[in-house]
Amino acid sequence: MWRFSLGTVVGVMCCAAVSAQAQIVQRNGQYRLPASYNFVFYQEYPNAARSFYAAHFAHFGVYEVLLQRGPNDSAAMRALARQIREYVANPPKFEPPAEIIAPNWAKVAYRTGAAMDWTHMLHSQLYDILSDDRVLDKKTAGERAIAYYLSNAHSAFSTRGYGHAFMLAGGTWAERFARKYPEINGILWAYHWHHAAVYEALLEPDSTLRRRQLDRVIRVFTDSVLADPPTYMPLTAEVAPRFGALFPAAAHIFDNLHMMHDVVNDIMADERISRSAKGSEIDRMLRQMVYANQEWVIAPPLPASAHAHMPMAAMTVPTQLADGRWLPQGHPDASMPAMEHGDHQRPHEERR
Amino acid sequence: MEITNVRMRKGAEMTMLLRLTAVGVMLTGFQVSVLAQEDFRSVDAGRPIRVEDAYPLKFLEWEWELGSEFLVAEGGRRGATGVLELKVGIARNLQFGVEAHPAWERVAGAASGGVEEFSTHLLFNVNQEGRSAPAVAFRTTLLAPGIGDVRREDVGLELLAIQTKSLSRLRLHLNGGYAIASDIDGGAYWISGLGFDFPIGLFSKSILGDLYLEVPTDRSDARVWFEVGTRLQITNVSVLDLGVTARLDEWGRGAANIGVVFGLSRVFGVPGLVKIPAYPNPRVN
Repeated sequence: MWRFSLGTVVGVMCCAAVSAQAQIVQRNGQYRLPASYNFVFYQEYPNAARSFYAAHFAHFGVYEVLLQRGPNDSAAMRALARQIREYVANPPKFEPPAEIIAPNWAKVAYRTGAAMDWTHMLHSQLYDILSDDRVLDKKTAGERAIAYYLSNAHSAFSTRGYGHAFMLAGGTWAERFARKYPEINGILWAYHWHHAAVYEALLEPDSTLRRRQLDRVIRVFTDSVLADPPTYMPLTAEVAPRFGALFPAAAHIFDNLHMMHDVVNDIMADERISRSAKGSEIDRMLRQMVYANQEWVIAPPLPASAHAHMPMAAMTVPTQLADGRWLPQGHPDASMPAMEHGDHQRPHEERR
Repeated sequence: MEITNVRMRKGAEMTMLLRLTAVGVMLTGFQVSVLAQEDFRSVDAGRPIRVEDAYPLKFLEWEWELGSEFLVAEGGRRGATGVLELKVGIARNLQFGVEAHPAWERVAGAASGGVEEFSTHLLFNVNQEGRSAPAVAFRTTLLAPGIGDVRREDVGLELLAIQTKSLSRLRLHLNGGYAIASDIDGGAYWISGLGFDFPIGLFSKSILGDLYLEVPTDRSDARVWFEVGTRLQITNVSVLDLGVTARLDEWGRGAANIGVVFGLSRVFGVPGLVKIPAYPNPRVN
């Protein structure tokens, strides 16, 4: 009896393996760049490091609630917002894995979740580099980390300055989530401010100043930014101009990550897109925004309405300086776009 | 405790086990670069359950593991088994590992010990779990004779198909396979196991359990284990397992037994083995 049952089990498993071939999504995990600076940010500034974990929970928590409870369950979203605020006050000791926060969403949009995780890894490595006094040449170390990140080109976000293009004009779902759930959307945008502000604080020249600035950032974040969140998605270089000038490609990578978070929110919150179609629409947008495809992708022009509620700084375009360096989109010293409608998303070599 | 598929010899003491434990302790100090324990849920055979999940290490991710099981059984039988393992993601979705399995047992005052076997494995993950399809992996393990009184005599081979399917946060792991072994090592047997893991909150704790069977092809009695345990992430890079285990088939024959299992693992990367491309000065406009 045992033998018959076990043979059946093995046979069924093999059949299932073959049938799984029809819908294969491979995991394709890659480990982060090994380096002596890894985890220095966590070790030196644990409160600042742990302050990110609620953001991680918020992003993936939103996806899971929208998938499991549907796009219109306001009560579930309010409950999630309360839980996020609890984690802001009392963050987990370690970063919770996305697949625990959003186990069902991970099955729908695995590639996008993996790209987000891969980019969070770059986030943390750049925090580590800026936190580690043993790393004297921050620029070289940062560019090595970015080069390694980009080598996983289908999970790396584009280095081009797409600004707000895809989240405002990528599809009919645009801005759906922000209109439906302004409270929790505000929390997410506040966290985008927080991520960039931490970079700027870490660019202080010594650890005492860094610690002081980080305390200030966390205080401003909880007392002010979270209480009165931004009304548009802040760009990294707007909030962190020194960081943006040092690593313009990284500033754009993080803006594109944040934009992808918004795009996923909108797709998940749009009841016109069926549950089964959400995954493919998210995949379609990911393909538009990854590094592997950036040479042929043309970002959609912003709708005219976007100009009304966005500050001037957010409208700047990537700008090349006389010495060849670039300032990323959103940088206060970057140029404003040409006035033709939509032109501000395109290359501006002609303006140099 | 019965050390399966191993010819018992007399005269050995715990020395070998202690030496191997020392090697394990030395390994705990081995870290080229410590990185995040990114998949603290990863279920690994022997820590603290026998069932394996379908997910391999990431490409270029290294991990060492130390697992131990201490068992007492009716009639004064005592024993300890362990696993020392080093594994690495050698390609995307492909894991390679080497293991040593120390063992010690005392029955009726006579002790025997040594390394039951050395083994090496490849685990290939076919796919990430989808909305309907489970994650599927195949593992092949080559077993070689160890050292001392408890060593296996001949080379063996184990072929395993693994599925992982989640129901919200609960993950189920189904293992099925076949092991080839010479008669002196106990003969061939079928393998089947069903395990689970379930995270507790967001705070890097989980509970795990399994039911695991080995059914000899020579129609002798099946070996059946039941195990349950917990897993705790103790640092950004380390995970601790604690569990209890029992041989249900021996209980069924009136021989009470219970074991305690603990395990420790740590992940790391090796900088010299990672190729970093030159900065591509990527387009930003």
